Amino acid sequence: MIEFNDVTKVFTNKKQQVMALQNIDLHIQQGDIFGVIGYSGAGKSTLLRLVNALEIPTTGEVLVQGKNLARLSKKELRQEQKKIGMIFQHFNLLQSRNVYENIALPLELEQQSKVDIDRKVKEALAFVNLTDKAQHFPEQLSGGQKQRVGIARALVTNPELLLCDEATSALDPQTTIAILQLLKRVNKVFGITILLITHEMEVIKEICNRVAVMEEGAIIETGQVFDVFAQPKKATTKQFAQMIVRDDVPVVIHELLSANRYQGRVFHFKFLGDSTGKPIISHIAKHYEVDLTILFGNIMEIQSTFFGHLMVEIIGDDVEIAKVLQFAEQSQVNIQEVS
Amino acid sequence: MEISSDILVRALQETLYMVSVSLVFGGIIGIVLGVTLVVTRKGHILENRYVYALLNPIVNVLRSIPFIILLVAIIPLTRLIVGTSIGTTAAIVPLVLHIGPYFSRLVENSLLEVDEGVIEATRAMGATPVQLIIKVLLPEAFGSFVLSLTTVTISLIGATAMAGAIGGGGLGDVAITYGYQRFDTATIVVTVVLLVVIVQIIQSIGNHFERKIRRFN
Ligand SMILES: Nc1ncnc2c1ncn2[C@@H]1O[C@H](COP(=O)(O)OP(=O)(O)O)[C@@H](O)[C@H]1O
Ligand SMILES: [Mg+2]
Repeated sequence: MIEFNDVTKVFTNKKQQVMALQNIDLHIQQGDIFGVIGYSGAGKSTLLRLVNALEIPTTGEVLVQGKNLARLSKKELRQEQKKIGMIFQHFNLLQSRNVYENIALPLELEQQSKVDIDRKVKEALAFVNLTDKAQHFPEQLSGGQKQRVGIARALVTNPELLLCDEATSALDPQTTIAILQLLKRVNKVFGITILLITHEMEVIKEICNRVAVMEEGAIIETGQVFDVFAQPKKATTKQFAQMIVRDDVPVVIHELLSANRYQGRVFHFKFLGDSTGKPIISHIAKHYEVDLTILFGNIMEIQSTFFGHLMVEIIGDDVEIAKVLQFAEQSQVNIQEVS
Repeated sequence: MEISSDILVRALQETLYMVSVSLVFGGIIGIVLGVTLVVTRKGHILENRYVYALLNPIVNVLRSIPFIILLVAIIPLTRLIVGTSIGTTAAIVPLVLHIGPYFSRLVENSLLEVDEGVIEATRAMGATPVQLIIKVLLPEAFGSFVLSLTTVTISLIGATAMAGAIGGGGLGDVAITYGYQRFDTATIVVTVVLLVVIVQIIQSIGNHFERKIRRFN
């Protein structure tokens, strides 16, 4: 669907050069909800704007459905842009138009008939559940409602692809979830491929199937969301993973340990994928001569796969504990002693 | 007071005539120039260094010439366009040249205030530059245009009074020929009061419409 081949983007301002993107290689499949996450200034917006040719790559090529938009004539380009919807952090609705007229704008640009426009706008309004707000002006709407207008406006031309630039970053957590659910429906119901950029892990976790992590204009990790965040390799990826799963040992446990407040030894269990569903703790309790106390825990679902962390105090003699560790290793649970 | 009400009424008509005709032409020139100054800027939809570099100083120069000097300086041009250099119609040429560039700067400012995100969203829809100007830029800036138009109209009224100095007719002419030159204070008072009333009316109308347009913006 979308293909970045060794793309570099350099902005040249007065004397200064900014390398916004470097050597980007990326494939986004039809039907994906593909998330790009990174801190502010990482180059996410630039990456997104290359897809609908709001920016042109300095070197390399971006292909959308096999077409290199940078090579098209202006007229052909406009034709292709109409197949790509876009929504924004600040919604970017026209203040001078009401909700209905805002959604009608892309159709007016195609000079469609009033009848067609009316039908399509009403369909889009119904889809985003804003039929009763058709005559309202943007300033009369809440943030979530404005974004739903933005989504309706992006969908009204039946695009194949939807680009989302921090679409939920200006919204509160509850509204964010509602908008993400709506985007999921867009993907499911219409089969529209979604490419979104964000700095919020919540967004990635909630709806993306694949993810790329960006830092300083480069993609540092990419793959299935679960794989990338269950076992992050780079420091930045780890930081993002920490936002949804706290796998660091709580400071208080360290403090209590150094104060010798625990009877037994403290271990950090990490469950990944398959091992999460197994009754490992109860097995240990039943079959080994040890006592277990769960000190702290955290289990998380990403894309219907679970992973989690437990801090467990094990009381027993060292021989027995060694057996426990061996059993855990066989069960593919990663265990580390906390000291 | 030495003058009859007939003279006053005719002067009033002349003033309104000069103001409205100059407003139409000046308004068109202002919008066209203003839009051009914005869209040919660096990074904008029709970026064009040469057009911008040519128009920008022309507007600046016209804006910096005091109206009373412009009035005299362009007499040959006026004669070329309307066939005469005196009278009400002749006054319209310098009035348009005075007000067009002034309005264009106001238009330019209003257009620059249009949210860049909205422009980006429209570009992403595959809009042509003309569509972007007509469907988005101008309507989004319309509220502040109305205020600018009010300001421009009021300064036009001031300028028509000056045009009276070269026999342009209108209330300013009456004030000078009857009031100032014949020491008729009553006439001066009456014409000034009339001008003040007109300005007040226009300001009120402008504010009213501006509020109406912006109610939901
Ligand atoms: N039009 C531009 N001109 C110059 N520099 C730009 C431009 N757009 C983006 N940049 C620079 O490119 C880098 C990446 O920006 P951006 O893609 O907006 O990052 P993000 O969306 O991840 O915050 C930043 O350093 C930014 O200042
Ligand atoms: Mg950004």
